[in-house]
Amino acid sequence: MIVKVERSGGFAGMSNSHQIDSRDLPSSLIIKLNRIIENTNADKLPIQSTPRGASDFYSYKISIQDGANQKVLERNQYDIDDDLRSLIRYIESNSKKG
Amino acid sequence: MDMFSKNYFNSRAYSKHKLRNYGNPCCFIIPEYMNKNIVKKGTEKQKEGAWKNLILTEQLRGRRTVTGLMSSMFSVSDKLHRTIYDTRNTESLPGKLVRSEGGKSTGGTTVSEAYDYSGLTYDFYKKIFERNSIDTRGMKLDSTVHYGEDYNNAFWNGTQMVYGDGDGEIFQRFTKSIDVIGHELTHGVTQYEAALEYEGQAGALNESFSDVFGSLIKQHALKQTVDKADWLIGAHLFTRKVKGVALRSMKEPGTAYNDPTIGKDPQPGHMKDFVNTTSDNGGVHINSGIPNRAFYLAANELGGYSWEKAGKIWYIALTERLRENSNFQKAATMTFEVAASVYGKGSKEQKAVQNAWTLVGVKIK
Repeated sequence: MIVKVERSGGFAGMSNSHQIDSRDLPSSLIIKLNRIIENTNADKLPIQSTPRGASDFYSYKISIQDGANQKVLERNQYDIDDDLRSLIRYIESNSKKG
Repeated sequence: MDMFSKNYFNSRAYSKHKLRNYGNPCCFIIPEYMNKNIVKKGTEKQKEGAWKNLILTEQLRGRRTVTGLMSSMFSVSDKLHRTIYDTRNTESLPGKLVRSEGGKSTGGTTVSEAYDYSGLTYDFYKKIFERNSIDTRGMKLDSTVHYGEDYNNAFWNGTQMVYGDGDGEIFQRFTKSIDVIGHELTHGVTQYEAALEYEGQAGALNESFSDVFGSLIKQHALKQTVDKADWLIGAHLFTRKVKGVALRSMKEPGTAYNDPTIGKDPQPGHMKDFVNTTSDNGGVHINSGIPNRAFYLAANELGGYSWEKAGKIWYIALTERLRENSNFQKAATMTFEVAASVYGKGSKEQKAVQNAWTLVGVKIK
């Protein structure tokens, strides 16, 4: 699977994207990635509401490509759970821009 | 009462506003401006009553939610109250309290900048627009510094300001520019006023008002006239490694940076270059270049200190005319109407506003 994280927004309004092959993820994050996919399939991924008036926050688009199948999640910094947060952080820090 | 209030209360803008409030006699017995004045200048008991009326009015209009206001309904303060917290490179808000109002300067440059610049922002709103803090009733100004690790951002989370240190590669600390702090605090003002949605053109207006007043706060602190100001947002934030002068240019959107690592400033300065995108909440930080340039052009045509005329027109539009889903066309029409109300129909101020919007491709109908 290829996991791509696209980030936009923030005060600077700059966009960037990173991607990684899931085979390059540490085992702890593979477990989290599988959990994210399961929750997405079951429509159970937790969503928290963005606080009223909040601004300059980061927005994320996470694409998971598995062969011909693709899942896309769109979230901002307020509605990502711990699994997604650690996956995003790892990919942003340890993968190539793309 | 200062000249701004005197002119404004005597203006046609306020007459219309007063009439609108009287539109439903059962609910708006005391007009909004009068309640606002009582909140500012009445006795504690009068303030409480006036504040309840304002909240009721807002609820009935469905104009904004008042949850945030209700939480501090019974405390109206006329004094500046700043608190600075330090998350020590974690993301757990608000962090450890490191400085309170009037306390000793501790915690280094970043804490001092957050403290001093939020004070200058408060002073600007108080002195120029008689505004008592973010919510008009003395809301405490909470800031958190040293947020996250190598965090390249500053944001307003609906209740407080948050600043990262930058990664040292592209960005330096986000407290370094006073306009960044003015920008974030103005998001709070917008939240309590027009409450512009953070999406599409309304979101770009939300961003633009923050840039406009962020820049005016800097100009006011530096006592700069329109021709002396740099009209840059986030100057000094980039490290020396980056080819750029700032994050945005209000005078010439799209020219603030052009760097091999971070790319080119994507802001348009005209409607013909409007960017349709789904990222960044529909390009709120991109298309804000268009109303930013409109403000600059109006201010430049009028000359002098930008907060005196153009700033006043934009402030009245933000606080009295615009609503959650307002777009560029609405902003143009409202600033044009406000200019006529305050300075007269056909006045040079109204013409400057019309010329400015026309030059960025928004025709006032």
